[in-house]
Amino acid sequence: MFTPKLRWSIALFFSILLAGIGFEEWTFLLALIPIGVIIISYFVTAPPEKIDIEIERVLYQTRFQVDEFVEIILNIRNRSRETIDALEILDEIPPQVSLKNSSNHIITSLKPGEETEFRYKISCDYRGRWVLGPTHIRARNFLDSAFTYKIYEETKTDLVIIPSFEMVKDMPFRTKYPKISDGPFHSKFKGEGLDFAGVREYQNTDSLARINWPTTAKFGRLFTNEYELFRTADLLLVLDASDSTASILNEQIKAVLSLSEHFLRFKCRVGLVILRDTVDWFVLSSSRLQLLKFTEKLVDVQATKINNYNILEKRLVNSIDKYYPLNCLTIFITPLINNAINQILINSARKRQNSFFLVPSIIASEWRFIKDKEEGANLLVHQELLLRREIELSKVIQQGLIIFEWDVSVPFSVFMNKLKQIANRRGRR
Amino acid sequence: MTWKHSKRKTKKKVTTKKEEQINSVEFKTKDAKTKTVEKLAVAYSEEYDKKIRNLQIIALILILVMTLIAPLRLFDSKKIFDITAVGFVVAGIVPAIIAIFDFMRGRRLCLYLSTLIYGSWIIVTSVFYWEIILLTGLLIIYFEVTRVLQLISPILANVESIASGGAYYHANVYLKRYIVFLLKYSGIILGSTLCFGILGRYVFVLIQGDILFSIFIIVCLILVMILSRRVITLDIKKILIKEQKERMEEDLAKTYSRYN
Repeated sequence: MFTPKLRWSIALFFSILLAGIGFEEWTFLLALIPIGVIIISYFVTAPPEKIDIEIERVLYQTRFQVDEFVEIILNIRNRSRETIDALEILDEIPPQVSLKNSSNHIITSLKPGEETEFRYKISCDYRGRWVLGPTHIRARNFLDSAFTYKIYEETKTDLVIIPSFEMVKDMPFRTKYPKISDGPFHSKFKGEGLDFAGVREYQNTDSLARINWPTTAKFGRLFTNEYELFRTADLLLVLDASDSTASILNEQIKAVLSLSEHFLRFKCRVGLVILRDTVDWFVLSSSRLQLLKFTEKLVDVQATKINNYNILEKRLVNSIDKYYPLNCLTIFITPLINNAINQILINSARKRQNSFFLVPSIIASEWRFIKDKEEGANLLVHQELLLRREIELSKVIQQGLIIFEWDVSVPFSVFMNKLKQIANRRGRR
Repeated sequence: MTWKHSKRKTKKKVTTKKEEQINSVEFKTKDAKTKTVEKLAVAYSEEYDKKIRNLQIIALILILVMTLIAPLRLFDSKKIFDITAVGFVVAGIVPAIIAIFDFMRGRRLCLYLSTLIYGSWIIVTSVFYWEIILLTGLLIIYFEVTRVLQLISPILANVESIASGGAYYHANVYLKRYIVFLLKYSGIILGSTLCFGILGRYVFVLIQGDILFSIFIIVCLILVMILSRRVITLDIKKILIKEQKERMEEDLAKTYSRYN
């Protein structure tokens, strides 16, 4: 297809011709010689109407974590017998990923049979299932008088960007109903654990390997080391994914996956309930596949508007009461920002014997993105929101429920570590 | 003799190996695989900048040639028209510089404006036979070079340079071949226009002006008809295909409609 440049050149040619005739100036016509030459060269150098280019995408895997960098490689080969002077290639990328380096839009030149490699790097910014491609190509001549355009649908590739999680080392949470098997929860009882708890006087049933020799030498009596017992427990995570949590949903998902990974590592049974306009639930299981199931589901979870809170409450009560024992440790992960949802969750938590709230600070998170923090109006709104939130939190506390507030600017593993330190300082191991 | 020759050969081989060692770096990847990366003497982005600068210098020289001929030739003239024309052409350098160097918005508009100014100057005030042919050729080359500069710079704006395969690498390949093409093309434009000019001048002297002019007009019209026919028929074909596609889509929608 020819560009407007050719039409303008022909129009210019005629204008000068007419002007020359009109003004009876033969010197005008001399300018037509180079213009005529260029118009002919526009036609002669035009690229072929059909371009025979082979494009192949090289991507070793299609599943990536959020914030991971991916190198995209396109192998391009000119199979035609003609040189492509200017080959413009645009590889479409979804808006949910961003360019890390180089560019997805290049201009190059290919000789007959020449093969080249086109590389760029993207950063996976948002979790979800996105499509990479198609690839658009436009072959032009050097004079840019004509071009041939083609779309390569075969380069379309599905990308699955899974939410990332952090490795949690310290677990500050305790359960009221531990099981007999070894696990991540600290027990009040002492026994054959790994964490050093203290020393006590030797009893005739104690192993000789556990005798604490320095203390024995100091006091002149036999002392043995005491270790803390670890126990497993069932864990239920309830994730609030209603529309009011949209700005903080990714952090909440990160917390869910980090906790699940930690507890599943210790063979605890973990279940998940996701509250949206529907209620999705996963029964308790200690299999490592459980984490994969959670991840697969959480890839697609988006904050959705809830139309009927009564129906939602019924669905939640039905699923929780039916499939999860009352004494399992229940963690409600919610920013406690929506009154209706809060009430549903408080009612549900009161029924459970062993539950608490993990509350990401949504106001602080949204405040980070306000540019003019010194402006009076912004400050006023911020203070009002904080006050409302405090009221909501106090309502939960009044019901005798425990809240752990997490500032999302702090990484989740660091937050857990700090909680653990606070628990230790208070004398609770 | 043969021994010496072979000795020389082995010496040469050693030096090339050393060069290879210097120019390439081996490293181990996470999968414990060894990879070799070649060191570049100059970064691709620097090479690209150099090529763009060369093209900018070419365009600037062309503009200066077209600009400076005006005041030089009309230096002694004191006519108001000549003084105004000289001032106009000298002022035309401003849009030309904006078009060549990317330092403010409206590069494309400035290119058209500068081409218009220099084009009118060449046609209206040139009186010499060769001047008009050569300057028009130079103006065309200036226009093409500046268009390429304007085409390629937005593609590489805010792009980070990487090793081979990146946007700068490909832009360098393109520019390298474009510069070779430009040299050939400039030769063709200037050479052919001069040839046509010489031919035209001699033919003009031999044959009567009116007859030659009418032949020229006829040739031009035939040429333009042939060219425009190709362009117009292509457009018509495109429109027909589009219409047919729309009609087929409509038929398809009607056939599968639930209201049928």
